[in-house]
Amino acid sequence: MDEKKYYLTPEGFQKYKEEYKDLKKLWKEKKTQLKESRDEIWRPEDLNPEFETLQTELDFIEGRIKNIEEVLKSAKVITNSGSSTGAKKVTIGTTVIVEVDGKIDEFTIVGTMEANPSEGKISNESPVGKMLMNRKVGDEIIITSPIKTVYKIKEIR
Amino acid sequence: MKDFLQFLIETSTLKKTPRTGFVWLEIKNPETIGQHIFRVAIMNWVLAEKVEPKLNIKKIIQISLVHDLCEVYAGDMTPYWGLLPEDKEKRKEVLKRWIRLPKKEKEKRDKEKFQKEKKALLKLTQGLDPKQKTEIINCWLEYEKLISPEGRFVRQGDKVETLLQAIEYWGTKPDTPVMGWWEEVEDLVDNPVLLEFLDQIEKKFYQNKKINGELQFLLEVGKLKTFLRKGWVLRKVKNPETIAEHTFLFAIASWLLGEEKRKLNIESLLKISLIYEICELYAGDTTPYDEILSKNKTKREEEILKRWPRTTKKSKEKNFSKDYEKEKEALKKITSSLEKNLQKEMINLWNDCKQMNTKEGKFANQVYWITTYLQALQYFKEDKKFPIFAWYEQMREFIEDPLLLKLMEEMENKFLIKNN
Repeated sequence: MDEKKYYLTPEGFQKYKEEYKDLKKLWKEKKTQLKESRDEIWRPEDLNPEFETLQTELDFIEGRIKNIEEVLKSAKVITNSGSSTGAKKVTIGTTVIVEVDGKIDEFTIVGTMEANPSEGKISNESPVGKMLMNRKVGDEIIITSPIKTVYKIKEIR
Repeated sequence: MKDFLQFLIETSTLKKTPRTGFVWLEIKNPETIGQHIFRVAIMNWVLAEKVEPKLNIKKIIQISLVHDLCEVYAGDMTPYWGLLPEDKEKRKEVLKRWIRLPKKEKEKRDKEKFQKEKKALLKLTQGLDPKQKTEIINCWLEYEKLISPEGRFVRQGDKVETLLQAIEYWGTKPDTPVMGWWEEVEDLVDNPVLLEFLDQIEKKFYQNKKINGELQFLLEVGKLKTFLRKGWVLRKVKNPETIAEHTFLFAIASWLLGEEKRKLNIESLLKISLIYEICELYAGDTTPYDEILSKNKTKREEEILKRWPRTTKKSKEKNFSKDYEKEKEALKKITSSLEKNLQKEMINLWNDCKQMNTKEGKFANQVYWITTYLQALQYFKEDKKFPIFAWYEQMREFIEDPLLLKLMEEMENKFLIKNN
């Protein structure tokens, strides 16, 4: 099976790289603290609450570092350059303004790793994201699962 | 332990906190946050089993249990917060569709909500052991900030469960607007397993097709949201706890106490807590009083309930084995629509707890009783006529774990000694 590609906007990619750097630094600090906590408090490790809290924090940081490493390894950075030959199309990284039932909505299409609809970022693999991809201003997409919703593209940025 | 008890008491308020969205829609007896968390946790576990690459199921359940805990203090901030008109009819009109806003406005609202909820969660967990607190906050961050595959899955599953509930209400109250929820999941869900599950929902509810598998199981399990615990009904408690509500607190307590207990498999504890009571949907919730009450028609029920029932060992063994068989059959039936391996795992875990034949099963069994006792004490606090003495007697026979005995002592200090 092909390895999954994580589509990232340049901003998303940069954010991951910075977070990775910060986490590595934090990891080193916590690791040192953990060592000191183990050395300082002469007790069995599993009875030392300070040690355990640090261990939990460290586990979280290590988990996050592992996640980011996987993302960065399989990242494909998408630059939103638009189309050189014709009207601008919706791609990953473009911001789309749509009209739904007379109301204006706005979101940026991103890969799954950056998606967070509450912040206005929807995944290119979600039903709406998938349908919007490669469409142009003026296009209408209809989502029919199971109630019909019409999204009219007003603007692509 | 005092602070941990306080955390449990505060968390237990979610058992009876109705979900705002359904209150606004004037659903009769709308589901509570505790009921919702219960099915979110089971649903995400069952569906996450199918995801490739593999997800960490322990994490999935933990994040599911934690995702709405901040609502103890922050309240249920639905995506419509601050945007609904006062007028009832106008409000209903807005609720028919998903909220549409400029991106900047979404970001601003998201930040505001995040800060409020984070503050609330820190308040709720302030007295906990730092390790427990860190774990809860980290789980919530994974969900809220979507920073792990598990966090992303739970966030999507959470919305799918809400949609499923809305559709179930729509089945009984056809003017329930479900379109807004559909629109929300269409923006959010991109996990193939959850997309396939949405397809199943559509086939079942909109095309009237017979659907088996996980959806069938989760619809059955959903009935436990309103399935009242017989022990409380018998004692004529007003607005008694349901099985889903109890399971919600039982799972959280098992996890956190299990961590403190150390060297227990937390994933097993979490899974046991989630499925231990689901058999009651078909087997009925049995109580130790059932046989005595049926034999003593003349004696007043209240008199019998005042004390812990005393019977011979033989009679106890007979009742246990009758119960055991009935419940096992019920569990087999309710899980029959799941993949065989998952069904087997659930039955084995239930068996571990019922027979108390693993250290996790034994511990979970006692946490089950401790959380039930906590609810009994809370009922006693509200109504001094509640027959608490029977519980007091029973707990002294059922609880043996030193950590749980410490918690029990704290509970009695709070609810019995101070009040008497």
